[in-house]
Amino acid sequence: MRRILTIAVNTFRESVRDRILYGLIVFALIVLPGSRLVISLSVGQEIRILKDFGFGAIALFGLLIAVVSGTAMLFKEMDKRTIYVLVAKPVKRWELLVGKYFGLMATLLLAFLIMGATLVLTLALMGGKPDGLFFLTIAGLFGQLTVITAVAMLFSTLASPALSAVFTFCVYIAGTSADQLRLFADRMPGDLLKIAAKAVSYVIPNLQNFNFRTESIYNLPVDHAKLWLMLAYAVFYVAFTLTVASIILERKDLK
Amino acid sequence: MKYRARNIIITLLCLAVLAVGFIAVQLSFDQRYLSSEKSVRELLYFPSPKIVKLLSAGNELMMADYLWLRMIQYYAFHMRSDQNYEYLYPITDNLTDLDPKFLYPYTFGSLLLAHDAGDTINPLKLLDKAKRNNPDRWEFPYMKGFILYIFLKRGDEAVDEFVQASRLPNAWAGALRYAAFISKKQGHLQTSKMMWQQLYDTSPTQKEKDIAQTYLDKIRLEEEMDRLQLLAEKYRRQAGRWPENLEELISAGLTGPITLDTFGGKYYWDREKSRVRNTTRDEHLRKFGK
Amino acid sequence: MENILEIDRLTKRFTDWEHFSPKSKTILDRISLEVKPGEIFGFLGPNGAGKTTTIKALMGIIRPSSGTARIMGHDILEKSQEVKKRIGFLPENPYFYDYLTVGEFIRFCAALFGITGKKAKAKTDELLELVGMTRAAGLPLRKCSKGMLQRTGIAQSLVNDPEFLVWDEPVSGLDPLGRKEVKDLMLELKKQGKTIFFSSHILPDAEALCDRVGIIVGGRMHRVGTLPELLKDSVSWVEVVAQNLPEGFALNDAKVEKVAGQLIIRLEGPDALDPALKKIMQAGGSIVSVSPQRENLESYFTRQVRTAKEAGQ
Repeated sequence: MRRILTIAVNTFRESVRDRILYGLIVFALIVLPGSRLVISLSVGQEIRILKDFGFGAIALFGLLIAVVSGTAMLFKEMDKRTIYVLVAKPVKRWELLVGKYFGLMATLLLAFLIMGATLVLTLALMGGKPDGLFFLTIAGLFGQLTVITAVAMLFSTLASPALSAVFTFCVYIAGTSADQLRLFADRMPGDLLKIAAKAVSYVIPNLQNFNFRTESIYNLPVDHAKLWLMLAYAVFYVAFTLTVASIILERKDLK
Repeated sequence: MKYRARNIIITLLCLAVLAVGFIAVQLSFDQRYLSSEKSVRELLYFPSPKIVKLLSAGNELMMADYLWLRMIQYYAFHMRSDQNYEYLYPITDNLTDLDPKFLYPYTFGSLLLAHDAGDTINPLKLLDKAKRNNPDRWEFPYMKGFILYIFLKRGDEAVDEFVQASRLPNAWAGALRYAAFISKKQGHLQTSKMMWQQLYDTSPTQKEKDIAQTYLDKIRLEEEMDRLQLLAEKYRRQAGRWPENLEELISAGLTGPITLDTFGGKYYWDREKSRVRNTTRDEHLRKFGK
Repeated sequence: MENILEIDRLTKRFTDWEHFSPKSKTILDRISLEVKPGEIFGFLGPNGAGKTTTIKALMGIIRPSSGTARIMGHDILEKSQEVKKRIGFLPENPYFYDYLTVGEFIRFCAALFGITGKKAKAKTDELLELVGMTRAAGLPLRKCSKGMLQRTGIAQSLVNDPEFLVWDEPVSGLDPLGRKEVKDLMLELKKQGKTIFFSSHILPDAEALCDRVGIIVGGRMHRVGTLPELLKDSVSWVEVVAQNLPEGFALNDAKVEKVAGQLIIRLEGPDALDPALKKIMQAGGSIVSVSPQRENLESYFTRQVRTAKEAGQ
């Protein structure tokens, strides 16, 4: 346990000192106030549009950080041979993986805090008030990334960072429509296709489970049970994905 | 080696448990939250069409296509479950904002709104928008006239629309014909029958044909009732009394065998009110009170 | 006492997918050797012989195709955490997290062994002093020279005070002073009872340090044993340096070379010494020095490698 924490802290340090992260955050900080420009093009509904845009930007940048870091993480270790030193230490490979995962999540948390604060500020300047739903939506976006990061790390044990990044983006897009796929599955011709479609719709991460954007915009009530389910889903899914990744990592030859 | 085999089994068990875990949670999610509803709210959430236009940089038509698919899915889902179509108009409205020249949502949407949802206002709003965005297409004033006449019984306004339609390029000749019939105030039943038949003949989807067919069958039912009623009166003139039941009409040679209607209901004689009645119609009256 | 390291017919095959026809290359072919507790074992071989590959297999970086190896009685495939707590590893050309400073890195390694807080700081200071990096503690690893990285590598391998050290090219990148320091360190560690297994190109160092050596060529173990055992077959001769000898002085069965007014005479075998000395005295020369020579490890090694290569390895 302590070893995982050590690695997590180390990973966090790595991300924070990594210039790419700064680049992304700075960019986000420019874009969020820049949404005010976009708003000036619309008539009425400014608050809604600001929220729209803000959530979208946070989701996008969070995704970029998660995917870029998640896929590069293990690759860097192996490519730069920094992993050799760790190999002789009493650290199991899965501890390494899990430690890096938590380190990355800590980094994302920091990024979200910064971006969230910026959005709150921008919103406040426009006379809007961030309510519980607002924060819940941002938390939901973070939840999506807990799952996507795990997927990114899984792919990174199998393929180069570039390829892994592409796959992860595809999974993200598919994940936002997973429930659609499930509904369409019934219309598929042939039982085999039906089963295959349904299976795929369960395996890919169902990102809609974390989506509260609609509730936030239209001020709809949120079911408490949904929150618990969301948490449970994230825990199970992430644990599953990281376990598979650990197995692959364990059997790999580290050139 | 035994150590490794044991490890493998434990790992596989863990994986299985975790997989079952997230799948079970997902199922629970699905059960609780009608996905379709969720996805519709997603649709609503769609940032205002202006933003979408801005951001999609030329892909609005694709977005509109996508919304179209979702709209159909929404309709199908609710048709089979609760017949609650409250979001149908907003979706169609949104969709046609994204692509004002996408013709089919206007006509299909307004028909569904009028027929399935019993909406008396929005189909007209939709078609007005259609006319605004596509002033050269006869289909829209035609459809508006159709809905005004058939569903809303506003004959005069319907005539105006039909006349408008008939003046647009490539208009179907029937538009003017209907204007004529209605303004002549010929038997409501006949005009309606003609209009439904035309719709049946020209509609490209089975769904529309089915709707038309339903109305045609209803009209046939009414025509049959009228016919039997006339025969009953003839019987009364000949026999000096109302018939006891409809079989007497057959034995009196006034008519051939009386079949069931296309909905499976029976025609029968109401002795109290001296009128021909029909079980399907009774059912309808009981449900809708009209 | 059991051997610290036992390698038994360790083999590594590697499929080369060049030109779409998979070719199986054997990188290590039934390597076997043992390392006894408390000794310094030199793992020697030319470039590409498989030294680093063997070490990688021992450390679990790659999986062997067949054969076994046991460290302190535990099979390497077990990847026993217990064993890892008692060994220290220095990889060849080590890379570290370049975003960390030297000190941070050592403390990170210490934390992995459960050494934290004040103890970790004390240990870090101690190790940095040992490798002469105290002043560089706050330097980011990104900015360190090769020599500094090497020293840091040595330091991190000692963080857990291990019983057994596996060092791949420990003096690579170090200047002569640095090399001496490392050699002294190795002897000191041996005095503390540690066992060291290291690979090297630098044979004179090996000669000075090792109790036993193993020579690997082309993926196969060529010779394993103590230096005397290995070199007992080697050639020995006597070198006599004499002066004031008349021109044209010659000896049978001896090579005579004139260098700066002196004659350097190479006698094959110690038996030729006495007769030669007599002859020199008789000729009126004076003896400057008499040194029995043994083929050193380097030339022995070169010879062995050449033989092995000629044998088609």
